[in-house]
Amino acid sequence: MSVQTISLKNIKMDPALRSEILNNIVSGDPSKCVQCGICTSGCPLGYIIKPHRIVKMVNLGLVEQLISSREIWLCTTCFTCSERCPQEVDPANILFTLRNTASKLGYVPRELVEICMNIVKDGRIIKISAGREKEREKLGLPKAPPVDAEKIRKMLEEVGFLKIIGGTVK
Amino acid sequence: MRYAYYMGCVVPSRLNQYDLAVRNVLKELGVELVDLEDAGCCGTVITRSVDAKTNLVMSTRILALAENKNLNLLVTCPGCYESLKEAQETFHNNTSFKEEVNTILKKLDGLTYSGEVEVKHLIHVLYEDLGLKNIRGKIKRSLKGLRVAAHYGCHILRPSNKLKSDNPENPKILDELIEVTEAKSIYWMLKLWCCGSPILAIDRDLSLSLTCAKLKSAKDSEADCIVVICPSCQLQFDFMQNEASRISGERYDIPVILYPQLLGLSIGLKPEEVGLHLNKTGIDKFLETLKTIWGEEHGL
Repeated sequence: MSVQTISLKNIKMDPALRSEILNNIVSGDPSKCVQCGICTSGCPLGYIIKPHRIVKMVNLGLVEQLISSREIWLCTTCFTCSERCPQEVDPANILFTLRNTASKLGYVPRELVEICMNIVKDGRIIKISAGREKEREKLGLPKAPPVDAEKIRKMLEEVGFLKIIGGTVK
Repeated sequence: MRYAYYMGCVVPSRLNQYDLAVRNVLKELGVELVDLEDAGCCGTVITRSVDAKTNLVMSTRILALAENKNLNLLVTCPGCYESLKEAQETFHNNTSFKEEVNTILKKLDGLTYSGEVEVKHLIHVLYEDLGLKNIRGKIKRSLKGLRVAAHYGCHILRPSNKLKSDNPENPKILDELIEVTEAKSIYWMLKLWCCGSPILAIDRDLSLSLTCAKLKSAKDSEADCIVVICPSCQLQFDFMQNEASRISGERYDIPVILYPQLLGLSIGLKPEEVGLHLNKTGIDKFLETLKTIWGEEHGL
């Protein structure tokens, strides 16, 4: 299993990055965390991800280790942690904020960039292959609704997504 | 009953049987679908991971396209469902987002969204709009004796404060929709766990470790099949089952059936009319189980 947990060697606190993350959190509040661990006990990958530990690290300003880690990209986004948190910390949403900050700093995993580029190119996560269209015809299904990929790309440019993901604009 | 039908990305690119079963079942039940054209991707957790606002804008555009048709939205993918509901909530509670997204939509499609569209997953249309009583009246072939492991999928339930779809710790909609066919929705320990799909591209082994755990749990509870309502969960349990078996060294051999396929068979549709032949795992075994339940009159 290729899991890399966060190393606490060379601890570096970064108050500026911590402030940026706290400012970007749209739901929940990490400062309310009492470290009860209900989030981690309900997490299907709690033996690796440990949401309560991530929230603690955000509160301490240990964010650089977090945003450069693989760990934050392993969350399945099942939201069980946020659902069960008695303090309304919303750890799943904090993880999204960490991923967003990591993305801006260029830490998006290659695999995710590839999927994002599919959307930029085709307007869909997965392109509809010719074989799949043929299958639709055979099943008596109407053609899949067309998508104006150029329009989607324009929207992604407008909202700043292309710049983050590093897509080349024609 | 008429809805704008948004099928998202995964269904038309990987799971035509989901689309087929939905269209044929809803036709039988008197629901009209109007295909939402030019919609593209909702953004889902993929773009939200990179930039949350991008996801909200992409999803609001889908809502605006449905509003333009004066119709509520029917989706078949919980990933889209969660994403669209999140956008709807943000649109209503955040004035600056409202203005920003409408500026973009105006420029892009000449649209302005006013916030009126209701987002429903297939199970909400069946359970709330049609109702169990109506559906019960359409059942032609009882599935009594079939042991079903219901798998909701994360994004139809959570985050419940935004989705308000069902009880996130003890949901009932899918269980009741299964039991309306007289099949038994069984207890299984990992029922509410994630299938592993969202991290498949990031860490294949870790993703499949969750899939293995779920499949084992369903098998331990002697399920005849797993029933799902999410295209990504279907791909994970069905298409990835062989690979999951190789990793764990255990054969599961559990058929994975989309809910509209199960309902379709029960209201009298033929297996090919719900695209059962396009599912991968244990379909022959599943048809044998149905033949046993239906006896001489099985008509398969």
